Amino acid sequence: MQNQPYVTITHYKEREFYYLNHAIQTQEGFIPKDIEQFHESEKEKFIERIRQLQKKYPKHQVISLSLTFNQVVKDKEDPTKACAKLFKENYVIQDKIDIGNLPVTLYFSPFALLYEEYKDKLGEKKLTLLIGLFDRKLYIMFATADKVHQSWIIGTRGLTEKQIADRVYKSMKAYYKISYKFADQVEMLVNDDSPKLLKVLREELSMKILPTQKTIHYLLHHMGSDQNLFISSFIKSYLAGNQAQEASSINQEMVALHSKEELENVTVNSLDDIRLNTPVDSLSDEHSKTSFLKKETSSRGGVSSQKVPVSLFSFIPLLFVLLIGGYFFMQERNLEEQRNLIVSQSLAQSNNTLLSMTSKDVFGAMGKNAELQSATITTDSIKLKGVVWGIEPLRNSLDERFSNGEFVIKPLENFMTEFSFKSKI
Amino acid sequence: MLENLKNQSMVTKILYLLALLLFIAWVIPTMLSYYSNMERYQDSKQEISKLLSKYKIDRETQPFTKELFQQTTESIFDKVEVKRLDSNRYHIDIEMKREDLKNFHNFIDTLSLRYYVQIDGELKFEAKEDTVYASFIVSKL
Repeated sequence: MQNQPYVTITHYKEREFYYLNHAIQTQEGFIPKDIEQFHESEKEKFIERIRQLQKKYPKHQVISLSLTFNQVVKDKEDPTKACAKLFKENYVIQDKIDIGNLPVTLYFSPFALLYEEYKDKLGEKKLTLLIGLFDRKLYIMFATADKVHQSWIIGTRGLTEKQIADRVYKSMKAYYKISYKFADQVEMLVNDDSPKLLKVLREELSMKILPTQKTIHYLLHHMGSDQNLFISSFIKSYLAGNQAQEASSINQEMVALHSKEELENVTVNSLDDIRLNTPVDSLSDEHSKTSFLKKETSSRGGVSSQKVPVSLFSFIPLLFVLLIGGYFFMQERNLEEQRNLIVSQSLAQSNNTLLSMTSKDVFGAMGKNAELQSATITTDSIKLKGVVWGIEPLRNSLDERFSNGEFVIKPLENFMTEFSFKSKI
Repeated sequence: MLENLKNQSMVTKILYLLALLLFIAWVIPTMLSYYSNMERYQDSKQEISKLLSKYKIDRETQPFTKELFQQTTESIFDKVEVKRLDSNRYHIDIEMKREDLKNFHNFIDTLSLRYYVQIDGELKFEAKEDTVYASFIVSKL
């Protein structure tokens, strides 16, 4: 058993593939073997391969990386959640360890890898912005030598390099608003070559960034290389404490942390600090597309956290105005109709009175001097025709009532006299 | 309050502004116009009420219908004929005795107080011995 080599078996999932690697740990460093790749449909084969390696190398650690959004660096441990110590005063906390039935003995957060990579570069007063790019997510933290001041995760899926850089810059601005400090230095750890992103980041942040390019397997092998290194920094679930304790013994094989169901009822932390990411669903990368500005507003005041009710509420004044306006508009139209009717009635009444008076005058003018045969009376003229006996009295009578009229007489064959009269009123 | 407004989204602010503009440019003028018209309507209605009272008409003005008009008018005159010209206009022939002219004049005088109608154009009279024939056209108001 003394001659058995110590082997670190590392694996992680990115998109729909599992990546597996193992390395022989020696005094001079570790010697990595070829990386093996399994599609998620070959999960059983993948697990079987890990089992084979575990059997082959009795002294081993199976190491994996938590790539969920659902993790944050805090000052205190949370006994209800999965925690890993980072620095003296900080802990990486995530709601649960969600690795299904995969064999894992050590489980690390990218924040722990970032800290491990740059811990020697951190200064007491120098604020360093650490950025780690893992699986299309940026794990970011502001740190000094003694502690992490702020951490958050930005999803980059579907974003251009310019948009990513813009989000990083806005995050820095948001941090400046709460702490009045800018980063003195930026360090970036990438597991693949992203020269364009680096170039844009440099331009956007106007800072010199020298990236450290290391693969996830390399970082995990390094983390598993020394017990003193990983003993405190791997993620432990307090709800699966016995399993976690086993991991501290190198010679014991750990079984996978199957506590998914047990942990599902754990209360989700409110995460009401100034984190810029909101880890609602660790499996959803879509979440990372949420507008940065919304997150920033939410983190500062919490005013827009009730976004939907506020939006609905904002329609109320407009609705109120439309209702009042509509009501008075309809009432006014009805009133206008009624008023027009009354006005028309008054006008018609005046005309009728005038016609009635004129008619009375016409018949009154006839008296016993004439007999009216036909008459046409309007409000502005009259036309009369009849038989007259007393011409002058009739003329006088008509002139008295209708001045400037045209009075015409015409003798008839039967010795009677016909008259006609036209006048304006 | 002002701080709350500052924290609102741009859409909310636009909606508030739109509501304010509509209130100033539409609701207030409509309200003022409504109350102004209401005053004038009340005045006109009071004038009509005074006339109804002057002519001792104790019922409200009614919409014109051929049947109602004929029924009430036949009780005053010898013969009444109402012909519909179109949806709004009627030709009316009334036959009466000469001594009923006074009633006829009173009838014409109060016609628009009893029914919502107006006389279109002219009153025509034909007289034969002791009988007078009057005809005119009315249109509904």
